[in-house]
Amino acid sequence: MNGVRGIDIGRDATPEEIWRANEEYVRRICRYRLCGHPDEADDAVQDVGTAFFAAVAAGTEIREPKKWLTVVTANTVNAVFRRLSAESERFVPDPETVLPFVPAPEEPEPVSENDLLRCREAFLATLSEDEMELFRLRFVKGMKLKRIAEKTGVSENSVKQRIFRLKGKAKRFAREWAEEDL
Amino acid sequence: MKKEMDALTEARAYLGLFRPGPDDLSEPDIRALLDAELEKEDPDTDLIEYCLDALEEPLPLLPARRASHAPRRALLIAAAVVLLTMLGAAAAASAIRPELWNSLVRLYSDTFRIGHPDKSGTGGYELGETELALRLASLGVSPVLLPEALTDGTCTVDSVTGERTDFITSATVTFSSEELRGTMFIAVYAEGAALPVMDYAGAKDAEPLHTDRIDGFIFSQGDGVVIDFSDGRTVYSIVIDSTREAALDLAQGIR
Repeated sequence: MNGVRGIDIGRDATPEEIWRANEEYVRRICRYRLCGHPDEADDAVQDVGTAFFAAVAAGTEIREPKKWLTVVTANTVNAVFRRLSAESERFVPDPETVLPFVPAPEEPEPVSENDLLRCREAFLATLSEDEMELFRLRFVKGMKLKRIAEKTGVSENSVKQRIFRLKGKAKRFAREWAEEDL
Repeated sequence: MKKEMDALTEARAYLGLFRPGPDDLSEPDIRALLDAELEKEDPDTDLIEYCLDALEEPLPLLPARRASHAPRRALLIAAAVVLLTMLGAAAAASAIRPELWNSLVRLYSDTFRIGHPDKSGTGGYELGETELALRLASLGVSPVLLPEALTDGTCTVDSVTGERTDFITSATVTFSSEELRGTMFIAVYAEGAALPVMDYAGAKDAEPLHTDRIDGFIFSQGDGVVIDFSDGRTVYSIVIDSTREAALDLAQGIR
């Protein structure tokens, strides 16, 4: 499914389009890692964007822009941490972080059974064999984590992480699907 | 008939993906997973987004706060948390008074979360006529509690800045003396705006703080000390670049 934030914008996308598609993703990482320093987070986003366009201008081949941006973002944020540490700055409760008021979202429209069925079908079609197997074991058969771990030969913690990933995928798919189809 | 039953089972199974369950990762688990993924040379960007999504989902609150008339708003504000670096909070938990415990939304190994109680101010603002209080009042921050050291000349007030939004009026006061430098953040939340929930992670020596005038928390962070408390719909945080003793002296003078 195209249109998922920051993903699948096509091989022919311009650098500007790639950046626009991924900027929010980069911003979320910066805000997560630099929580308490919103200005630093915004600066880091700009630094990542600058690095991206500089790399493009220099002819760097970026095969997977989102991964490239993730690594550059992580490095940029780490550099900010080092600088803050060197300057003996501390995390303090910056009012900017606490203060913005977020309006309550509107109540979503009820989803019809038909919509749910279509969304479910579309989602299940995206699952890999391993994901479908996990879905069946955990959510259709209701098997416990320990039993799934034994059956699939991986640790219980690994099963937990896979379920987390599957749930995340389902939620993200449903959200994007609703935005596009409803 | 069997086909219909299979379809029904699958529909229920699908909805199970959206329900919280015992297999959900805890918030620290998600943070650890996300941090680890961000350090990889070949990161899984989908996993990163799932983690960010999960962390940005509304946070569970105490039953007392659920009773709020604006629960959804409170949840959203709760998501806008401030992260401070803090360690050793768990050790301090047992010493926390019951009424303060009620303001703690959650406590785990190296993080605790303070949900400031939404209650009336206690009144008695003895320093309300001082020059600093009047400057803050001109910014819309009034009535206000202040450390006496900021009004009696012990510390010099270096700057006072303010900002106002539809729901929050805030001020930042920086001050210094020969022994210390500090910053005081004050935020006044309008009726209808939820008070913030603050996460403190990775600092140390957190403990409740009680004076004649305030109940709050004090903890060390780096070489400095943070004092966190609230009064009615006004939330305070004082950060000083000095010793805990100096911070306690400052706190004792808050009135």
